[in-house]
Amino acid sequence: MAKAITSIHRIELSEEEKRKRDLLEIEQLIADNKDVIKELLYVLTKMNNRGVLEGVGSLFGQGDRVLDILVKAADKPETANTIKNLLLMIGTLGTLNVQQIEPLILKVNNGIARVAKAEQKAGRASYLSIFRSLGDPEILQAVLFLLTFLKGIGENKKELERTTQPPEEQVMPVEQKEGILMQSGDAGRNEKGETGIRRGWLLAAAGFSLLGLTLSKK
Amino acid sequence: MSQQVRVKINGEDAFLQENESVLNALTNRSLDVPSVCYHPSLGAVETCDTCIVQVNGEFVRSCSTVVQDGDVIDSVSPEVKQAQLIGMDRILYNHELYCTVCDYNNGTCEVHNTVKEMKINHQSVPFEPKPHEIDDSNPFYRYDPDQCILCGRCVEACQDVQVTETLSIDWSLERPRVIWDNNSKINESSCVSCGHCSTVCPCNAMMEKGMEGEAGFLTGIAKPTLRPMIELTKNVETGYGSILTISDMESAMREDRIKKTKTVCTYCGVGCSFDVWTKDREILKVEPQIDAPANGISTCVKGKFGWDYVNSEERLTKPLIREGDSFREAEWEEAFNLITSKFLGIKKTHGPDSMAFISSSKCTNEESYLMQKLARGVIGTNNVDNCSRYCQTPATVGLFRTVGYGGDSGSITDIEQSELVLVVGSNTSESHPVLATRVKRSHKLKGQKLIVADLRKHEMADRADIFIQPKSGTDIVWLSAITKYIVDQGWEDKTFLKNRVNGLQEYINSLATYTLEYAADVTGIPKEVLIQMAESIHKAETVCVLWAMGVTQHVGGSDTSTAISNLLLITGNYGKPGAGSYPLRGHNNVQGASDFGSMPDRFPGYEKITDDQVRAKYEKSWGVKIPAEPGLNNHDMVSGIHEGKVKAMYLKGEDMGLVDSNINYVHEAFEKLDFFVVQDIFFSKTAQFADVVLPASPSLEKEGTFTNTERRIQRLYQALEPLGESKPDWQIIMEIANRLGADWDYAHPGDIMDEAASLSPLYAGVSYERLEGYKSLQWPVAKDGVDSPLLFLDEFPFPDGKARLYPVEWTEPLQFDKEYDLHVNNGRLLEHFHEGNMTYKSEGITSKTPSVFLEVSPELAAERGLENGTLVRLTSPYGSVKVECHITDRVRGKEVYLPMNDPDEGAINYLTSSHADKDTDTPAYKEISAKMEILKVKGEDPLPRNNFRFGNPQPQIGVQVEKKWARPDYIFPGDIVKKGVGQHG
Repeated sequence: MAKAITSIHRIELSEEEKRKRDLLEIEQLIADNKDVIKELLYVLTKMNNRGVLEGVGSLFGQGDRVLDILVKAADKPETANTIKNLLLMIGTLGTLNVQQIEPLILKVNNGIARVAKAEQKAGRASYLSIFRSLGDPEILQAVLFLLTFLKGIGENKKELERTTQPPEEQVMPVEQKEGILMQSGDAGRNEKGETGIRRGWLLAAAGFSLLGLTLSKK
Repeated sequence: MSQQVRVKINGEDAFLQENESVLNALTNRSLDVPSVCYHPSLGAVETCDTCIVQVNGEFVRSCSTVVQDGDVIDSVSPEVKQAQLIGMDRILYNHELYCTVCDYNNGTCEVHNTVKEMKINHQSVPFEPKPHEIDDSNPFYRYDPDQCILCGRCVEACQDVQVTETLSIDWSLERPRVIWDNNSKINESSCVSCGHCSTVCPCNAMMEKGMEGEAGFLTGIAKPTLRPMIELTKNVETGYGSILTISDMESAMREDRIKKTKTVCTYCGVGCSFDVWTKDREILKVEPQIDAPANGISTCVKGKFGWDYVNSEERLTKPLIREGDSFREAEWEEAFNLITSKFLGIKKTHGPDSMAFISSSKCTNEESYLMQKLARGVIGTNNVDNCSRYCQTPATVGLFRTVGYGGDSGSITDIEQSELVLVVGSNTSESHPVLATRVKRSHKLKGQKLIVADLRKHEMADRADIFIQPKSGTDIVWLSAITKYIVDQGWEDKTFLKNRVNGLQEYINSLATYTLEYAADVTGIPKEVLIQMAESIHKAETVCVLWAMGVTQHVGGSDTSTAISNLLLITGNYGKPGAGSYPLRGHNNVQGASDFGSMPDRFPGYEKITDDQVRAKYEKSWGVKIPAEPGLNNHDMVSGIHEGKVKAMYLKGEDMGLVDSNINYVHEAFEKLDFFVVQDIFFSKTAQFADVVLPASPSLEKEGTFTNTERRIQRLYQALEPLGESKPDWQIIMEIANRLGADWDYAHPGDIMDEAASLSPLYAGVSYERLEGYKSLQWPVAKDGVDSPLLFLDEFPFPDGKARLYPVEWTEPLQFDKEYDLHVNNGRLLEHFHEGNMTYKSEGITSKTPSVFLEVSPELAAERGLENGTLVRLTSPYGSVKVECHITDRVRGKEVYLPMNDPDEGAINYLTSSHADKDTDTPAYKEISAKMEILKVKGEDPLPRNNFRFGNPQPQIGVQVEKKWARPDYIFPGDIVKKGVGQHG
């Protein structure tokens, strides 16, 4: 006769048994992950040496409070603006073409070097010396650059502004568009892209040289 | 095939399917058109105005515009983009973008994705909060009006897919919002918590509570910190681009820790499949998929929200062994050893037939297969059965007699497209909720006729065109009378009968007694109504009959099922789309449990034990001898124990001690067993009688397949590891078999399916590869993998290919002494499943339906002085129950309704008898009468006010976007662009 029964005796592990079982489990884990643990300990030691662990510990210890303070601090107009500007700057950096700018920067550097030398000479400046230097082909080219640069600045590029333009009126900067075209691998388009870049380089170089010169004269 | 039309799309010629929407045509050609409110399962909702394009120069919503020959479509011009942008701007005015800290940021947010796709960096009209509070009252989902974009998808789903008709948008408010009923709290409305609204919501407005604070890495942050964080996120935005990038990164990180697993619902037989989202053991949400073959985006409250039982603390996690007056937890090794020695001992002493095996309709096909293989192939007995014996075996028999296959003859889509649906003895909207939605939808929107025959005025009855309440147990009489009337009028399908059916004349002769007068007298249905029903059936091109326990759980259950099939044969309603017989299967795998051979007289695929050739096939494959005589069914097993013939029983996943009828008698039998093994996920009533209790794993913790009511085989994948030391049933059975000397070597349930498919012609082409993901197969499945969504297209599975009309007679229902003056109807509720051992584990469900209750009619209440909450005792000749009353006009006169959802004093089966269907031994649960005593007059209504039954639905078609368009502040974006008025609405 097996009457219905409802009482159940659970297997109660003694504290010692539980501990033993847990330790066994940990031991197994350590053995299985020997390399990871060694690596981790190495990193942790370094962190500890620099006092990082202590800081992180306190941070987590007061996690919610710290986060609350942080977020509330960040949610102030000036902080928000800083982050916003940062994001905008990052966005703007993305529109620069470093390939184009590198030679320009070199030229600017060269310009600065010359200016520095010129100051050391500390010779007398006269209208005559200015006119004379205009005859110098390098100077002539620089002036030409500057003029072209000014032309570039004068052009309306409002449609490229990411922060002011509605999406349907947003246009990709010429350089980016060309970049995409180039990636398409079409040879004909590639050629066109290169000429585009060359022209762009001249424009930009002109602009920045002017800027460089103006600054160095001050 | 629809015709092709020639159009111009953005200047290029194209050929499109006629009747295709412009939106579809464009997206099919990979032309991206924003479409925030459009959902493939809902169609064009027309609220969002983001899919505007130009057709022949006019601005139109592409979702609702059908292509015409010669159309010139423009989806790219600046004007089109401008119009779309106006639509999107209006959405963003209603929705705050804080994606990174939003729980809905999982890659599927339509608002997020559309902002990204349209490259929107700023909006012209900034977001402005609405003057409405968040509604947090429902236990399963919450509504945040501030995030609601008023797309109306939820309303469409509630009104026209689920057809509970609770949700609408109040377009008359200055800032419109979704409202429940007449603007009540969600939890006090008619909402049945089916989850459709949260499933289709394109953003985080209507969201499952399981997701809240859980889905994201930053979303669990305390509220006071979260708000400034949202503000900060908004303040630092330099345009949405950078914000979306960060939230996309965060969303990608979520992929790593949220696991999405396809599974099949483990409640009723509809066979809903969906993805379940888990984070470790936590269940975040259930996400139905458009591709799910049976349910699409639909679920009911149990499938969508009823999964708490999986992580319940009451789960069994170690084997239990009876020792004196208590159980003690034991290691598997000890439990297996004990079972092995006892099984071997009893087999040796009393012979294999002293042992009995019971499979579960909750378990997988593979597990049913193994259970019968254990019984037949290892022990050597055919004493194996499953719980379909308690419900649908009579329907199976009725169909075997007439059409040859014991399953639904078509698919849910056939029911959906049928011209007339006849529901007999089925409370479909509560017992098979998702299947019912298809009927409710077709009835509401597509002119489908609905006839309902039931004792109770439930939701389907409320919606019916004709509703009849025949006297209990008399369905066969009115069915036969209608059939006779149809024949008498010469309305039978003569061609069909001549070409495809045998036994016509003999059958017509057998109908002689079933005159309309006789039927009216026996059933209480007026003659005119019977004629009206016959006419409706005659006029309908296609008829589907849906039936359930109201038919089968009677002493003449098999015969009534046969009469239904006869009616369908006479009217030619087999073998064509939109027609056929649908005995709605009760459990997720009640079909499969029988399909895979857990029956005393049949092998898998219903091949007979007595067939020498079939037996030889299995004997050869298994390398054993199988007894040629059919074994004992559930019912016989209980008698067998009482008679001392059955000594041991191995039962899995079945609370037979509650769900069998006359349970006092069953309990006495259990007490007499020499050895009793019960395998379950919980310590069930039945387990209390066991000698060994084995902890099993539920569907989410294992792989396998289920077969739904449509004969559809679907795979479930493992979402969680088995809890504690519990194991999947198939592994337990295999271990026991191997310890008893078998040499089974199944590494995966797929191996078991391969074996079953190789032996049973019904599944010849079934394999796990063919069932991958949301793919499914409806048996019979040919070797090449071709399945059978609709049966009997060419022939019936009889030697001459013809169906058989099968004469049946009415068996009068059980009669009770006068003192038992109340008929006790019984059955399911929407929100609880059977004895409730799974659904009561859900806090939410329990908060809305905390206990069982007895439905009594207002007349009876007046007569006896009953009130809501009156505690009564019902006593039948077999036992008694104690339960509180709830007064409702769903029942009438001296009939009461006791849902089957109580494991204790209210359990219906303390009342039921051991009388059973004369052909199948299915208990006659529905034939029970009782007397009532009042124990305590005053009490609380057992049904709390937050139960949906107190709600006040507001039926309407769709979201009624016309009301939005009629608002004085609404201008169609196309018109704005045309007039050049303000650029951004």
